[in-house]
Amino acid sequence: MGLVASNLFNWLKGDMHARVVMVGLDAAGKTTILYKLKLGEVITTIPTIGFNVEEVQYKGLSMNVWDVGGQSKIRPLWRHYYNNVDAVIYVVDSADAERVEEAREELHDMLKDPALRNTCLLVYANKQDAAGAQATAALAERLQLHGLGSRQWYIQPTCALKADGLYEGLDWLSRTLRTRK
Amino acid sequence: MTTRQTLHEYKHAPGNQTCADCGVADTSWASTTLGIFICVDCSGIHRSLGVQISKVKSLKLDQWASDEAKQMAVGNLQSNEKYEACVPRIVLRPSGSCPTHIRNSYIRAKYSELLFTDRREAAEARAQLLSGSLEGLLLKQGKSNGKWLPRHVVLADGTLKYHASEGDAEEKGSIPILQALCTVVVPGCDQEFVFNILYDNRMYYFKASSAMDYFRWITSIRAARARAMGWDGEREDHPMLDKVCPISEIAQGSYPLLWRSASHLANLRCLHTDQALQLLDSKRREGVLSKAGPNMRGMKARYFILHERTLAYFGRQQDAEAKGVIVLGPPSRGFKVCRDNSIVSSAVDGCCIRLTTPDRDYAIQAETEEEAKAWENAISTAINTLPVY
Repeated sequence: MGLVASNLFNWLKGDMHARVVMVGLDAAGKTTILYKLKLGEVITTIPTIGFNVEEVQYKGLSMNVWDVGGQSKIRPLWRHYYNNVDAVIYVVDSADAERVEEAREELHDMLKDPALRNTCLLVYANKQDAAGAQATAALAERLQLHGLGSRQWYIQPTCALKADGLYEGLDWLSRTLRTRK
Repeated sequence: MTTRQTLHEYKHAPGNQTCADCGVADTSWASTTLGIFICVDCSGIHRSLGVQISKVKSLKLDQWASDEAKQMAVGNLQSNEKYEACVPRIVLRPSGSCPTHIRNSYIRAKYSELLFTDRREAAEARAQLLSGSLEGLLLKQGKSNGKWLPRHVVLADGTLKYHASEGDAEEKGSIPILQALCTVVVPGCDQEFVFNILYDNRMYYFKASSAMDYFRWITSIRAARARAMGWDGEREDHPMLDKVCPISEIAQGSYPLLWRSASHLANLRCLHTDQALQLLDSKRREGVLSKAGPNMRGMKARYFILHERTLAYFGRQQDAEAKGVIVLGPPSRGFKVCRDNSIVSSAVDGCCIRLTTPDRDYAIQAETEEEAKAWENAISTAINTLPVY
């Protein structure tokens, strides 16, 4: 009985490991988010040519987060990071209305990859503090998230500079990954 | 013409070979909204301004639409005619290797605040900056516990005073900007928006809340210093402005941290090792001397470092914290150096130096007469000939 209880406890509380790939158009805020989560600080970034990878711990969930550069010509490289991925974090600049279309295309193209068939999707609608930022409902609509079928997805408004929303997003990710494993 | 040809042509137009903001010879990035070519470091700051102000694209790593390429017709020269129509000389401008927050605050002032354009509001804001007075909240690092505490800081009449809170009539501390010989400088990159002032053997650390706040403080302090030296606040060709060092010299001198060793500087991530070494090679002397206590008895071995007008002494060479820092002022403020054996009873003939400062006299002794002469010369040069920043 004790053993069962302890297993149950570990299962409920225990450390879990996940591999996460974070992508999105250039200048969406991926690197800023990664280092805000890792260091709790806003760092001054330069465009990511290649990737950054950090281990991020949050409430017993230990995540290996890969932040991959988003300039248009290097987006084809994203797929090299898809192997054994448990979750995708897709970062969108909510204030960049002109490029939502482009963000939608890249997202849907990406999710067609067989390696990502069983992953869940967390969308960070970033830069909510910026002038002209769109609300998540409108963004979900324009990104056509409702057309993703059986995939589990969630859209979270964030402001990486203030860390607003980042952990709420991870809460969803953590819950979702736990119920799967 | 194809998009690629258009881009190529614009990139090779006059003015577009160096970054529109910091002037380095790298223009592999561009802002399509502004029509300018910039370097990778400045592109990082531009991306944080938001797409309404600046939309950044890579010339190599991005695909370009033809209308985007056409926006690049503006070019760096024409853009800077507008955004840098009037940049006061007192403003620190970014250069290739400058600290991130100088770059960050300058680019924000330039494009978000439009501070250097010829708009009337900009002229008013500039006049305010050049007045050399400013008031507001800064975090100040405590002397002993290292904690950052909010202080109401008032810069006026060439003095920076800080109070526990805004209403307090009594200040907690007061720094005359002109006497603080080391000018406002930038410490390690690990702390954003921090500036420090060395005054009266003590390093004061202040932290601003944002890039623009930081920009206002450092610019105002520099203006206050120039005014205290006789600048009228307007003339851009005033000789005193030459003495308020431009950014290129920030990398060359006047870091107060200079009295730490080169390796320390590198460890502190202030600078790359080669930069640190470069900083340390000029106008500098270091070595073991013995120094008497305030009562002129009991000579103790100390490691001395002289850099420009800063003479610091450490318990041991590798110590991070100096036991004392003497900022050498000009003779007119009571600074003097000479060799004088009468100052301590146990003096070895010809090896003892008396350094007179307004606060106290120091007795310093070298191993040999030759060494004593060399130190006397170096200190005397600092006192008598170096410019006072």
